[in-house]
Amino acid sequence: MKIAVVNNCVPFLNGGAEYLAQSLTSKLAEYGHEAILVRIPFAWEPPERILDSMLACRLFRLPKVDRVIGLKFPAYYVQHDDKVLWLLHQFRQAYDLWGTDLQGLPSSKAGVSIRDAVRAADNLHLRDAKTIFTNSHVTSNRLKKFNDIDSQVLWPPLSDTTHFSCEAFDDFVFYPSRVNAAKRQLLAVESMRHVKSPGRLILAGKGEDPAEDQRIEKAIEDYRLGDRVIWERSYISEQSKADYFSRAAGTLYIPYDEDSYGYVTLESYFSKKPVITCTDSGGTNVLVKDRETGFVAEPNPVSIAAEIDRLLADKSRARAMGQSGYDLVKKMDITWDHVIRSLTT
Amino acid sequence: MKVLVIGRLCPDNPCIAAFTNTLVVGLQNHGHAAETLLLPFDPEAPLLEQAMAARLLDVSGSADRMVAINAPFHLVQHPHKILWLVEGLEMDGWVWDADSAAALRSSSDQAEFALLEHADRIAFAEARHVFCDPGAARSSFGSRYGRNADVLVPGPYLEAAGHPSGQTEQEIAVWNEIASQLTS
Repeated sequence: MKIAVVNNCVPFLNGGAEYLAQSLTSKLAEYGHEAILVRIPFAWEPPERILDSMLACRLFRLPKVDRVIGLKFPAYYVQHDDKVLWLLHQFRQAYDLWGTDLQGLPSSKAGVSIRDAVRAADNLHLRDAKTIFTNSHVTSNRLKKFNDIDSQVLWPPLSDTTHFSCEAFDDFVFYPSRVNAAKRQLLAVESMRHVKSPGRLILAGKGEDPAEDQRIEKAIEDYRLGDRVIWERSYISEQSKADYFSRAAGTLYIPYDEDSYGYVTLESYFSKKPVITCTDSGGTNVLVKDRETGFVAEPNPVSIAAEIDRLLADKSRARAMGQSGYDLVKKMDITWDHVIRSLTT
Repeated sequence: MKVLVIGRLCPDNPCIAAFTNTLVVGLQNHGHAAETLLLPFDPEAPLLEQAMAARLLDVSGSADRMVAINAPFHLVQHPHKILWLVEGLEMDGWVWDADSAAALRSSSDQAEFALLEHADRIAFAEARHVFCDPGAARSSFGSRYGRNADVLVPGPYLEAAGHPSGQTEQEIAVWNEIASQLTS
């Protein structure tokens, strides 16, 4: 089957969704399909640009393919008679983030108009799809609540798990991720002030916002954490990342209200390492079961520090929780076999 | 600087991907961050809609410079846009192509042809620089739209992924010079 995977993009920026789109395209080819990845740039500043991007996606014509798999807003508006969605993102600023600090859109008449246009377009065009899968129960619930559309959860697997291993439980927790306010690396650094054990925090990831980078740097300096917090700011290879996972006592992953469990969580469990997350981290709670596969802390430095101490103090327990996480992932059938079968039948 | 190279996504013609990938490698060798963005275009589908789709895209915030290869993505908005018209790479299906132009002119809706030519004039007018390969130069694109166009000859490009390991030092030097001209 000829298949186009359609995603939006911001040139020069790569994150979990881009990784997933690339992985899906490669896997479709491995499973015998002719697959292409179509990336359509998305701009949201100024907010009127959002409507431009929506219309552009609706007007593009794809090369001749048998099926389209749409992933993110607004790329999933692209027209095709045989379209299925693996919905990773709606435009949350028009939905659950409206009225919060993360609203993004102005509250003006123009902002309300954009919000309503997004909702109306979703209500109309999401129904073009023959089937809608989502990346998590959080995304499915939001789709049902705001658009009254049913969907099925299709858990996103890792592209490759063969390089993950468990070699040791050294005295550090590892937090690899894009660095931004939503991922809350600053909260991770502030937590280290309260960690009593001699362990370290290793952050890995490039900053996306110079102001946030400065806040993190300042916190490390102000709290004199230079010898306890290491920030690998340049790109690290997949193998380097796997090596850190392999030697860490556990993983810290404390984003704010993510839809999915996050690749970091999955990578940690394939390395048989427990994960510390927060009660408000969203989809991570699918895999992180408190005291079973990791720890679920309150989103404040003292609570997170207490769980880091607990993790570092008992390595045999950390090992058992990491193994439980690995067993859970295996039991949930988070595999490409399942994903490709679902998206191509 | 960050340079975004934009062209058509043509799964049946690997030359475009090979060309843009090789160009990106040349730009990277020249010290820039460079990325390819190949966008869908169907010459048999309505052109005006696709022209509008291209025009609605604005990549100003993502890159310092945009290099557009051929139509219709010369219409994408960027304050520092460079056009490079390469006859060897899928120029068909647009008003520049004799068959397409003839079909449009003979159609009942000649307004479409006029609108697409108007869009072309806008894209040429807002480009900071227009380059043509020798084939495109013979078609006098620059003068048709009132712009000077410098001849820029593509270096050899790899048929597959554009991986630099397959390039000779001489080929790398050619692409470095091209990168220099596109980013000067």
